[in-house]
Amino acid sequence: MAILAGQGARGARHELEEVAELLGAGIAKPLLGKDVLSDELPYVTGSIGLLGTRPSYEMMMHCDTLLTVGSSFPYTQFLPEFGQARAVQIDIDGKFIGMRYPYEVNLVGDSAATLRALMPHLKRKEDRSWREAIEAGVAGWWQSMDAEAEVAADPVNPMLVFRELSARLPMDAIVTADSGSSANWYARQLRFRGQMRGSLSGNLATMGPGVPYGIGAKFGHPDRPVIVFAGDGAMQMNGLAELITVKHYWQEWADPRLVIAVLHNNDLNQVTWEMRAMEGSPKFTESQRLPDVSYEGFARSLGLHGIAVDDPGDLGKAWEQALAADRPTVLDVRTDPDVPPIPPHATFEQMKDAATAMLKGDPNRWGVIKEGVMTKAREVLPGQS
Amino acid sequence: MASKPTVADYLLERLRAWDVEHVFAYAGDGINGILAAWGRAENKPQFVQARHEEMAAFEAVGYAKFTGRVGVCMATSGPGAIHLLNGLYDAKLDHVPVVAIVGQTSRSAMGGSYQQEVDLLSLYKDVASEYVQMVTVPEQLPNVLDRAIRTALAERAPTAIIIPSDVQELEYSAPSHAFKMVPSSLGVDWPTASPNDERSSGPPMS
Repeated sequence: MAILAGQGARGARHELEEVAELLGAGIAKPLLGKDVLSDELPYVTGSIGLLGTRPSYEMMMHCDTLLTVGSSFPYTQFLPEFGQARAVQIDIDGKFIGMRYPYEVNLVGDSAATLRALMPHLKRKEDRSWREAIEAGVAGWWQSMDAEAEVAADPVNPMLVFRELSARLPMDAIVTADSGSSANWYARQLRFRGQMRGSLSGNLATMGPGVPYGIGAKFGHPDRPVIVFAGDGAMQMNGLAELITVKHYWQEWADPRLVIAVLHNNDLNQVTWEMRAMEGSPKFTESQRLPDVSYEGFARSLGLHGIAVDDPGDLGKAWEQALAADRPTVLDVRTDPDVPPIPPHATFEQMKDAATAMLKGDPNRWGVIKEGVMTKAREVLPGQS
Repeated sequence: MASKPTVADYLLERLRAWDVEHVFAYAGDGINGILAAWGRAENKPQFVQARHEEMAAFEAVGYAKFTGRVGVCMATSGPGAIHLLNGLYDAKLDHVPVVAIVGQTSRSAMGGSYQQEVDLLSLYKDVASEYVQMVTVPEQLPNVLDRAIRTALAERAPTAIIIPSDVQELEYSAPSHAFKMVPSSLGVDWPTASPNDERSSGPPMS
């Protein structure tokens, strides 16, 4: 059995854990539900979809029962095949229930109250082999993520930026991510736990909300540390200007820590990769390359803290400085645009399209092939590095 | 200072009564009456100045996502209202309660292809499909604002109210106990919805 728990399940943490325990289920979390359940639970398979994890994908492809709670996750191809699973949905809003999958029962209600009402009707699943397989897959996946983040890159592997933060995240942190490759690594590399909150533009997937979400979070919770992940594209679109708003207000915040980590690769990287994987098209430099800007230099010109990182060995120390700073920090990390945001289930066709794009004369072809092969190898051979 | 409270003074008072503490906003002459009232109100709720109206809307969305409260943003008529749109669509697609308050040209100029005049009721019809209204007389204000807030919370969606600049400066006059008046009240308590124990309606299980 698989459970899909979205943002509407935020008030049902204990009930979800109890139901998953009873039924021996795993729980996948769409992007907006990333902070609904701790990633330290061994049966939480993490994110799902194009930015998802392999354990979520495997669980959905093989389950015989699906329970969706508080989610309108839009990508039906990541849910079980029609006819494979019997499915039930719980949602607070009758206008949004019953779509995306042929559910047999659509229960409109508060997620916690509805799960509590269901519990007396559930029988404990005594055969725990499904659950054990999920837990083994999850453990292996996190090992793979660690190994992937460790793959050497030129100069810094973007995954390492997230991984070095993940273990250092304060338990009350609020994390935002902009749309683009930031969202990819946010989804797959950060392990949420405790009271951590996180969000991004889940459905509109607009560029630009990372920094302003962070500012909104600071006004809502001035006593909590906030971390923003934004690409250089989003910073140039509007994030840099909004740093001026940060300069204007940060001294009002009880906890002045607002860390803006910029993935500085001079590339509109997510779209560059989508073009390669989906269209089989090489990178079109005129649309994809970004002019070089010093994000930490701009931050320092505003009296904020600025840290430039171009050596992966300096990342841990940089995060510690930023999380101990007495003011907001821009962490300007030179990341490698050739590290591929390969979906968990990357099909042979997609890999072939990407390879074709390379052969058509992609300007980054050699770096891409090297990083792609090394990264994919870490998923196939978990624990190897 | 006007001797009697204006519509704009009352707008801020009503936002305070709803416990709105921050309004993410950007100035413009379509909301000058409200900005003047803000000065008289000692910046309560706090006017948070973004660099761009779209950023103000994103800030309201982020605020609402992380607090569970309604986010409020404000912008001037025409370009300001247009700039808010992308952030309001972000709220709509992610089911986040946000109220946008925007200015409009004076009633005397409306329909006259006037400076900064765009048809905001039409422009906002999709993004604020759950509730968008223009306040044209003071007596409308409390109900329109209260419904915008309650609808945003009830539907987890963006809503919008449009206040022409001359209306902002009218003396406030409360709805009375009379025909064609719509008085209003503050607050709302939500139930915890749970399913029936027995399925009483709907198609049978296949």
